[in-house]
Amino acid sequence: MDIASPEMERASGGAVVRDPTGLHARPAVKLTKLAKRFEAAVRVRAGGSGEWVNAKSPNRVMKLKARHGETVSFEAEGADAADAVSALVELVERNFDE
Amino acid sequence: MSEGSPIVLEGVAASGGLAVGRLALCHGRRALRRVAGTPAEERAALVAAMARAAAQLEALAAGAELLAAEILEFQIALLDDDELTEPILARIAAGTGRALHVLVDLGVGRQRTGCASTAGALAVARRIAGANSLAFGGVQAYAGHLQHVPEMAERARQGAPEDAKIEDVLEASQQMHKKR
Repeated sequence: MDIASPEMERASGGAVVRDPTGLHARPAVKLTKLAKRFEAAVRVRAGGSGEWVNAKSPNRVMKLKARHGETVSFEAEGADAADAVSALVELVERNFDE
Repeated sequence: MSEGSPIVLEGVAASGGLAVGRLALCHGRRALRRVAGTPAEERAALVAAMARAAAQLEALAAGAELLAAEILEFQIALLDDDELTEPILARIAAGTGRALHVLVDLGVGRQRTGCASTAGALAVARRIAGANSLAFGGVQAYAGHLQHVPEMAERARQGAPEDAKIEDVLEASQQMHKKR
């Protein structure tokens, strides 16, 4: 290929879970649906030392068991990484529009 | 499951609370007989079946109240979860027969999930037994109406009729599976 590939865009961010029952099924679906709208690969984890998982997998996001008051962190890599992270952070900050 | 040897299964409850009840696991898979079609045909069949299931769930969700619709949306999302479907598609590509283990979901409690009647659950079990690509994996039932009964003995007492139903469906499903 003679076109130089653009620098891979990366972004990260986080927000605190406000729902008293934590990140349960319905918010998990909202999170993954939103993540899937972006081309970037997005990973998410709960707390400061949790395992990073694919933010586009409802099953994996449910299994995070992110609790009330815990921070969920996002990392994205790809063309729209910054947009993906800011949209996801806003969704958590809005308490998933619950 | 052998008597007296507890097996710990890790899972995630779909809603907050304590889940106490029977877990009906069905082991002892029969030997694989054949692969129904070519891996490509099997893959196409599964993808089409998942699309049909998603369309049925979407139709159900369209007529449901908000909370129920959102639970159905979660089920649709699981059908579209690559982390779940990719291992299955990989097993199909490798030519593995009966790549998909299916649980019969019996609706007890508030009918949020599963077949509303024992007859309906058995119809699902019959479909599994008749499908070359499916293996019967067991019965699951979510007794949502008992989620908030705090006392264990009372919970067990109220859950006894559901236990009996689950037992019936499990036994009949296992019989169907043996006969095929």
